[in-house]
Amino acid sequence: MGFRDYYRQYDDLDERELNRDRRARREREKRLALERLPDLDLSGTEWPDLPHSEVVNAAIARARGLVNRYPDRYAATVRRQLAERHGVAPEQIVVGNGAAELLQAAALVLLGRGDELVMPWPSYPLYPLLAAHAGARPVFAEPGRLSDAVTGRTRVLVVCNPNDPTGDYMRSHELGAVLAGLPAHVHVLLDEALVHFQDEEDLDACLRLVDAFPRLLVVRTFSKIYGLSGLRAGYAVGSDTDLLAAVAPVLGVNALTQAAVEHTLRTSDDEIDRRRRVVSRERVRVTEGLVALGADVTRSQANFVWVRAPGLSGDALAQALRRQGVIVAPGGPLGAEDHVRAAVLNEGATNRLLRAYGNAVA
Amino acid sequence: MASNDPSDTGGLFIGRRPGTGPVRYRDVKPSSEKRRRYDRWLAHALLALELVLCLSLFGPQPLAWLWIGSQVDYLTGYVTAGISTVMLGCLASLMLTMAAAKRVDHAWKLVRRAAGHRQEQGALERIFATSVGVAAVAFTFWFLIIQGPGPTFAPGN
Repeated sequence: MGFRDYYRQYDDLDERELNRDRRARREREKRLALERLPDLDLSGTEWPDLPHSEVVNAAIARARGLVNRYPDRYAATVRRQLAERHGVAPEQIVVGNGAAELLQAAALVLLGRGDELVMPWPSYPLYPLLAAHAGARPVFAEPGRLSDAVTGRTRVLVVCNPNDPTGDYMRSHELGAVLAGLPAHVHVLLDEALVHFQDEEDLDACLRLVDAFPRLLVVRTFSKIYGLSGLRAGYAVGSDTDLLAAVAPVLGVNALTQAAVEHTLRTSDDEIDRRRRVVSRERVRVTEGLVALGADVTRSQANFVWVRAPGLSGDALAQALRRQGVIVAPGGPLGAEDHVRAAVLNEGATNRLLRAYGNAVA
Repeated sequence: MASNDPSDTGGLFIGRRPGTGPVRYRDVKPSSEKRRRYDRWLAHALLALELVLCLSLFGPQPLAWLWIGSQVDYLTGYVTAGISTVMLGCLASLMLTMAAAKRVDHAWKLVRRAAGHRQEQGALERIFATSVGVAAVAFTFWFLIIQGPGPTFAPGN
């Protein structure tokens, strides 16, 4: 070693040299983080993305205002916006704290002890609970043969359209035929929480039946395609003003929720259309892909597909998919032990679901 | 995982700011006692050289440039040329001297480390401050005692 080299070995370490090992370790960690895919949760039916920041801002702005005062208990602005949208009178609309609460209120109003609530099955698991809370008895009917289950004790027929979890959609003329055949003591609760995802007919095709059938109450939500589940907002449309008044929340919906809904109704139509198109496109891809892999898939009109893998129970299929990093809802609690429900999100989610299913059944 | 990337921390820098960390150098295997003794002697010599370089700024160099300036004045006949030479020459030699002193200081730091000391910083700042003090004392002694400020204070001059 030369004279100068001997002393140079005592020189300061520069930042680059000092951090070489740390940088290498960080690079390894980043690479591993990129390689590791987080689990994909397809078990829910709410919209996975955050709402637009302006919608949230609208609620926050309202929160900074007169929250010491009661909100507009009639949600007049929201009702006017919805009435213009659906071509009905504002008096035909009530706004509630989510569709489920409106359905529950309607069930409590319409059902008495010993009455029957008829529903197709499998369907939304909340419906049997509606009947139980009202002291009534749930009656499970074959899809497509609802009228056959109606008896003298039936007071309510509840239809989820598109149906959760199967995704089946009952077109307006089919629903009209059912309504026309019902006795006068039966009301129909039409749950259209997922209606924005159907592309079979006009969005309001079934809703317009309220004018012809006063015993029809249509319920919609802002929790699904609008992505405002946490704000709990929904509304009911009907032509029986007494029933509407009975299901309306006593002191209305909170001011923050009203602000967010007002803003989203003013500004979000383009985004809602985009979401509809994405779900519609990916639903076809998922369905065709799963069928090609041997699955039994219903022709869904919702933002999920209802899947059965021949030879596998729903639980087994859900666990096999879980091992592939994809979480789906097992069909048991939803009404069919041999199915799973998988949400339709976007192209990436579709690809992962198909890949996971292929590996799960291989 | 800790990170000081502002995009990971909401715009906040986490931890030490760049360039403010402790000095680090390689952990070199100790040399022989003889070599370390030699390094200690060499470090003293380099320190002395630094002191000489710094002290030269406050006497020898200005005097040298005054002499050169007087020669320029004599040869050209322009006082301005002489004064300019002194000013620019002093400035240039100051910068060159400090650059040389900095290199010597860096060498001193390495030699001190080789001699077995944990030497994190150089000594140039302290040497420069010391040389300023020495020069100030020397100038004061010359001005007040040897040369004298004037007839009132030292009537004999």
